[in-house]
Amino acid sequence: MEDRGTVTVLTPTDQPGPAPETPTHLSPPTAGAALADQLRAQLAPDRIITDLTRLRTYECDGITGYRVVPALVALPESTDEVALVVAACARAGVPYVARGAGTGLSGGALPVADGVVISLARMRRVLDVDLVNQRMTVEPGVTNSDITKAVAAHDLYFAPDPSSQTVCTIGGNIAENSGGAHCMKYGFTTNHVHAMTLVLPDASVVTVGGDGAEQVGPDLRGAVIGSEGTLAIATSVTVRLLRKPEAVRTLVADFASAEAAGEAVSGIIAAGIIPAAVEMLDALAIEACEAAVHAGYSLDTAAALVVELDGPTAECDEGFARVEEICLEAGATHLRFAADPDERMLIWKGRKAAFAAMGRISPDYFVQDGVIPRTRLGEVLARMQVMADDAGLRVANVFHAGDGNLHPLVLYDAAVPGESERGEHLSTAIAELCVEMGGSITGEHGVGTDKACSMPKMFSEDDLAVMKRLRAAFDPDGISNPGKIFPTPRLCGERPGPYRVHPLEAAGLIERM
Amino acid sequence: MTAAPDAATEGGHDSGPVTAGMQAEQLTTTGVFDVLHPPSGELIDDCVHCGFCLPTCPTYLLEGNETNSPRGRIYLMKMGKAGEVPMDEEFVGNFDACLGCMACVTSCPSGVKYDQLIEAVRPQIERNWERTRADRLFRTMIFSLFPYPARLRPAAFFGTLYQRLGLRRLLAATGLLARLPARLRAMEALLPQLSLSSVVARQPVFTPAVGTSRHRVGLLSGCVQRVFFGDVNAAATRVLAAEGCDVVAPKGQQCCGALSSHAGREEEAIARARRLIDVFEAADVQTVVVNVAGCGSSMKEYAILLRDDPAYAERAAAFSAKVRDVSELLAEIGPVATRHPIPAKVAYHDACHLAHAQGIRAQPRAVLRGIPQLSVLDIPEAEICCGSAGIYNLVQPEPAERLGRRKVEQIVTTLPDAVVTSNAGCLLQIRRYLDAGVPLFHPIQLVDASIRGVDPISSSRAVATSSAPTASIPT
Amino acid sequence: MTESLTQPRPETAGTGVVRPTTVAEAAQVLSGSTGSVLFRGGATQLDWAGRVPDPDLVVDTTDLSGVLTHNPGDMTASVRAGTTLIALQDQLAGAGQWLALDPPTASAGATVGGLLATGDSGPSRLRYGGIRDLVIGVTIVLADGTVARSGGHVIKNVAGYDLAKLVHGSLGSLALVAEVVVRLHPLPERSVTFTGDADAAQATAAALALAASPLEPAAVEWASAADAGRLLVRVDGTEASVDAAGRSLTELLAGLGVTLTALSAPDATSAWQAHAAAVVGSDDETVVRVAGLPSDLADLAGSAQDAARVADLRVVVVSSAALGMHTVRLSGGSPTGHAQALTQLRGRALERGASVLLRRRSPELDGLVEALGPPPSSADLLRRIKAEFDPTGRCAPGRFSPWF
Repeated sequence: MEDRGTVTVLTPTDQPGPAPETPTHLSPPTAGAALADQLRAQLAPDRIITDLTRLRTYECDGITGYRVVPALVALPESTDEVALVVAACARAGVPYVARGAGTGLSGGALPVADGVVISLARMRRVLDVDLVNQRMTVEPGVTNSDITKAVAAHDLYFAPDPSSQTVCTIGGNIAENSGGAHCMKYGFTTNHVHAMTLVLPDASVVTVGGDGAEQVGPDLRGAVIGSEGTLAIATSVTVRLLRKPEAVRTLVADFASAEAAGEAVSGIIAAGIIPAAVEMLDALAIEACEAAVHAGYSLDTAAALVVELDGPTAECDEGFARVEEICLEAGATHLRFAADPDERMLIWKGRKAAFAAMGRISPDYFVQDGVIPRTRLGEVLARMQVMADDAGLRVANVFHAGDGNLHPLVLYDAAVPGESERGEHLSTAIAELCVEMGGSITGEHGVGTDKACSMPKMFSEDDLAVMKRLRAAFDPDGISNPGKIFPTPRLCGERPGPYRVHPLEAAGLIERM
Repeated sequence: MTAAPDAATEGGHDSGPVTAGMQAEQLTTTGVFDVLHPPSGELIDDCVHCGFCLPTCPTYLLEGNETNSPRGRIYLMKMGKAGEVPMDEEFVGNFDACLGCMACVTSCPSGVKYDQLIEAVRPQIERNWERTRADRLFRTMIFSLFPYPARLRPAAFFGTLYQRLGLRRLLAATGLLARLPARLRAMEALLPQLSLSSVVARQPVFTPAVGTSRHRVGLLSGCVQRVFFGDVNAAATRVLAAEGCDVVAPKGQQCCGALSSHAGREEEAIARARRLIDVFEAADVQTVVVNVAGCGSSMKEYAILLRDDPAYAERAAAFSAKVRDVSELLAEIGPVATRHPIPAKVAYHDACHLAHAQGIRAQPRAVLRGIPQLSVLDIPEAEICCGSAGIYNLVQPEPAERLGRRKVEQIVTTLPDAVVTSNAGCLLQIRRYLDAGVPLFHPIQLVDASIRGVDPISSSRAVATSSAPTASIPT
Repeated sequence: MTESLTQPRPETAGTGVVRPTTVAEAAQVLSGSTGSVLFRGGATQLDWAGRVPDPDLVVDTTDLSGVLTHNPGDMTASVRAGTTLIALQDQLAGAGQWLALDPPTASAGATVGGLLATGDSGPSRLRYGGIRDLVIGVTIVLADGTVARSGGHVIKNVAGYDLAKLVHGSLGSLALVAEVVVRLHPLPERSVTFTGDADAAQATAAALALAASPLEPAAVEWASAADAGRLLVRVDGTEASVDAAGRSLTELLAGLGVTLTALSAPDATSAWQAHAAAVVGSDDETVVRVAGLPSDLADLAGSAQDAARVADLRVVVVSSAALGMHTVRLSGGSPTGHAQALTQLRGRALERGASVLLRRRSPELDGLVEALGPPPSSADLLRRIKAEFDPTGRCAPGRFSPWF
């Protein structure tokens, strides 16, 4: 946001001036202290953290630009213990934030000052595996990859595969409605969850969804998935498992320009093929991935496409031959076919390391997560280049090209005065460009703290007001992860939102009263 | 992803001793650290807080606690350096809890050098943090016993007698064992079943190559290794000789200092490193072969350890460049001696200091696969430490035990005929929790057996089935 | 299809019917009125769950129709809610695409908005998901005329709450669905349907075997018949892949004692039409929808047959076998018999962890049996949501009585 200034650090620890001469444990605020005493009496002492040293390591998640030290961290080990902590928070009117592995890239697990962090990291048991009906019930702290690992021997897997899948938890996937590289064909977390046990902000425990594919009444399971921890905490999750496809074919195609690569993607879609994944990397992104993983991407190409098809062998082979032709027609300069599962894994390992590997080519970076209608890719890339040049910064691009989910990585050096601010402006401007193009400010990272101020660019006041009604029904007192998703004056400044014509309306794509 | 608050402090703490000739980092913002090689800010800043290290960190696996993870510890270093948190019990505890297994180094996509960071922090803690009396005494006891074969051997001898005479069972039956402090109990439980011949075995100083000599190698006989695993040294010597190496095991070599170095006892580690370099320089060898992963990784880091010592810096670098794990060397020079079949399935456990610290994963497997009819199984959760980790299972017995049991649970899922691993500590730790019917070997022992045409696995199976019932695996 | 489904329901005296043509008009109608209101699209699913007695106002979306956008390259389309699925499919077919949805009420004029409000789906749900999986954006109008939009025009989007999920299955009790944005699929190059005789146990085994295989059939349906029952299996794909899959699945099912034969295209069309009609049922029947674990098919079909036998009723079970969704149609006998059978079946199904929705029944049943079963653990939450979205309780009162 243009008026948001620099990186927002919402913490008393960021007060200017030197740190305390004789560092001592700061006594937590009274509400937190009382709560800690109460919880210690009810839970094993090792479930509660109140010392400043350890609290500080919970002050941020995967995005370190936002930091708030919580009053206490609770590490419950069961649904009952989660409910107990939530009940204590509700009684005391203390806000809480649920946290999985803390890999989120939108500050969704940013603590609230004087609030409680409820870490689900100790709830990582597999509760039930039903191979026949292809489902599995797990606690929220089980990692995305561990779900698949538990059933891989039976040719089953959990489809959503965010890049951080080895780390991120199913609870976090539910909060963010995580997708991943293969969601173009297989959908998101919301398409792969049968049922959840939820602890609501009044500490009541409810089940949403169930054994059946159809449920009676509003789809509360769907409403909660993707609500970024603002509606409920999932304490057990029954996921849907898919049969491993019979065949998987993967290729990497190099192109002389991103536009040519985009053309190939359009050609694939137009041919009626739904690839399991289509990923694009530009030269900078390839450089970082290669430095980290040595996955064998060409270092001398402007853009590379990773195209993967899966399904029954006959269908897959037929489609793959077509994809190869289309890539060549679009001017692919080099094609590399994954010869075996190991090579395929390596290609993906390279791709999935992309964000984390940026540390190798730039001291600091912002990860953006905008979505555009895929057909406007060329236009957006060109605009982004101009914006980057204007800001005097480099932008690396990694994106899910099949579904138009861009991950521009704005590279900067915080040590250079002004770069951090310019980087943040550029990153935000790119997200908002996506909305202008008829897309979204976030495809998978969530709104969290990071994009709350951009929400009015995408939604009208009424849209947001109605969403808040849903929140009020779940959490009338606003104690569950407050300050996320919705813009707040504190974070975004007092900006009475004058009604703005939505870009889609202006473009004649939608119509409103 | 963004700049830390610039809360600069004048290193207000007791800066600890600065040894003459060593260079202090030219920084004033060392916070709780003294100026003698505090963890490097540049290395700290490489961490982008992505969290990819979490699932491979043993302590995070056990506790689910952010602070007790590599990401959390790096965050603590950063805050410690900025003076935002004190060096208090929590601060020290979180670093003490780190096994130093370096699995995070392997899993980090940003290439953060956590190994260098943690090894910078440990001496800082030793210098600047006053441990409790009991902790100090215990650590002193460890470091006055283990690195000294001459002291360890009698201890082990009496330990063996203690086992043989049934004193252990007596102690357990009377409940006295349970009343020993956890750390001593851990030490007691780690005592391997020793053959008296192993305890008294001596390593020959020179063993000529069989046939034409193609290489002259020095063998580190180690301290704990020499006493508890003398037969591993003997096997290594025979294999190296059979593969055409003249083997020198110089007299006067002592502990390499790995235990001290990994525990932050830098002065001690430096003294041991200098001494070992002297000894091997005199032996005039092309390669220094190690069959203990922890020692090997430490010796490969002498160059860093002695970087500030003008008399040794260059020699240390030359020495480190010569160090090879025994499997690494065998893979390099290729086999000459004929292997005989050992028909068995063995589970190969990656020792952290071999896999994560030295990046050696393929070589020991390749060396094992060179044995006809031997198949090598991978263990699930291979990247997770078994809990041995130098002196970790002595100073942190509870988490070490949980990790040991967890490792063994994973091992048994592969239904192996035997378990193989390249580190003395891992062998002791896994032995403690593994069904006594499943034998454990150092890879070199199997290679030796294969060259000699014996099959230690089926013979041990025969022994196991004929002997008294063995303890079952806890699950 | 019965006549009453294709014709708008005759309104009771005192009910006003309005047919807005735009979202703005719909909003105006709602903000400018009070009293109970029923939202109506194709009127194909108005009997589901509790009855809404004599609404003061019917907002009929018949004229709130038309495809607003279709972006073939992005595989998305947006429509006004009253657009019938058939009309939408016609338009999309020109670009070789479709909304991968084949609910049984489509031929009777079910609208896209109505389908979202009911959450109905057809056999293709197995491969393509239900409407909840295909809607990417929605515009709703609340009881007070507030217009709200969530989602958008891109398939991947996690900004804000997903209001489309909230209205999915709400049966008009929370808000009017006014516009819907959907993701599209390419029309399969070829589809082949196979059929074979199978009883409930064989159907269960076949469905589970197919799910465990990598064959990815588009639909696995089963319908009971006097002589056990019949399976319908459809495969979508390219010319070559459909043949290959057909061979594999015929072989797989032969191992389970089910002999499959491929149907000609016209025969397949009529088989699927008859199958859809068997799900819809008729006015004098009691139609119950049960959704549970796929492995429970035989058990639930058996329970339905037991319940019918005790009450001396005829019963037909139609199942989306691999999805565990079953439609049970009871006919003949007396209203008390229907009530008794419904209660017994519902009890058994709920015991098995299945969900149960009463879709149709004759008015005589109304006093005899509750439309809904016992409230779920989320009933209190549902009441609070209802209170937030529709504080005066005007939208479809009685629909979810007594839950909310």
